[in-house]
Amino acid sequence: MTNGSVEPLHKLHQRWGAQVQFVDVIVRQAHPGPGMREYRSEAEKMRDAEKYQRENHISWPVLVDDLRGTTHQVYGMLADPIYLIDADGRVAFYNLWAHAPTLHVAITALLQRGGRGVVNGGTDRMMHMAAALTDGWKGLRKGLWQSLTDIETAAPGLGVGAWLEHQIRPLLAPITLRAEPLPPAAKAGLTVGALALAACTVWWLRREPRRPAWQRALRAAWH
Amino acid sequence: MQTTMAAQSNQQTEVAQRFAKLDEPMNAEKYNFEYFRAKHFLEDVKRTMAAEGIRPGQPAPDFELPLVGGGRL
Repeated sequence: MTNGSVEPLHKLHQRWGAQVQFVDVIVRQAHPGPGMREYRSEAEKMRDAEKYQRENHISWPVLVDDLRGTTHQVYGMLADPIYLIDADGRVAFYNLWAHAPTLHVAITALLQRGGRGVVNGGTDRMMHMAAALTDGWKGLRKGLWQSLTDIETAAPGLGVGAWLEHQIRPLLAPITLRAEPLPPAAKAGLTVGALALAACTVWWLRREPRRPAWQRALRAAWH
Repeated sequence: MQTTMAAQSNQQTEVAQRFAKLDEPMNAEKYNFEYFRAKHFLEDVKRTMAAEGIRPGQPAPDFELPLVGGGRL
């Protein structure tokens, strides 16, 4: 999982840990760099997994995939997926990009139907990036500068976006690192806020710029 | 040593059987890339669009892997 998923999953675990068995599988370095090189041995991978569990206070089991990622490759090889497995060992819900609020709704639905069957359409394909951007800088920072330049080259804006969001983390975290869906009133408030921000931006871009006196005189003389 | 033993036991699981049937399985070197490139990002997008992985309703293939702190699961 990415760094952005740690806090939301802690919250989910607090809510559902007594009813749902959480399991983490360590796969590969998504953004290698000098401070977190790509794995070259299973022992190295195990050491990193131990560090990950210790530093993030993970209380659920952490497993380590083999070096070629056999389990990861069979399970789709996405960067940050979560599978919700039902009581019969079947996939009840596949969250392709970890999103705790979506998973919270899926777990609720699964438990309501006795822990069996496919819930909420079975799949969420949306590339949820908000949590990864808010807390992703922790990972990129370890691999500086390579990790940052690599991600900026591959997907411009993501690396710098992670840094920017890290700077205003206290403001964003209650929204982006939440574990449950926002209440309707909060969604409406955020929508109104976003529309107001967009309207202000358009107004600012379209306003007549304030020119220096010599430019105004020149324009008056010209006309 | 424990890691190697666990990896060996994983070779007998459903995951290993399905891995053997993958169209283009990656070797360890390709899987553990040294630099994140645009092709990796695009592969993620492609896999997302295709929803690659285990489909809802299908049995989740068993696997056995080493556990941090010792043991296997």
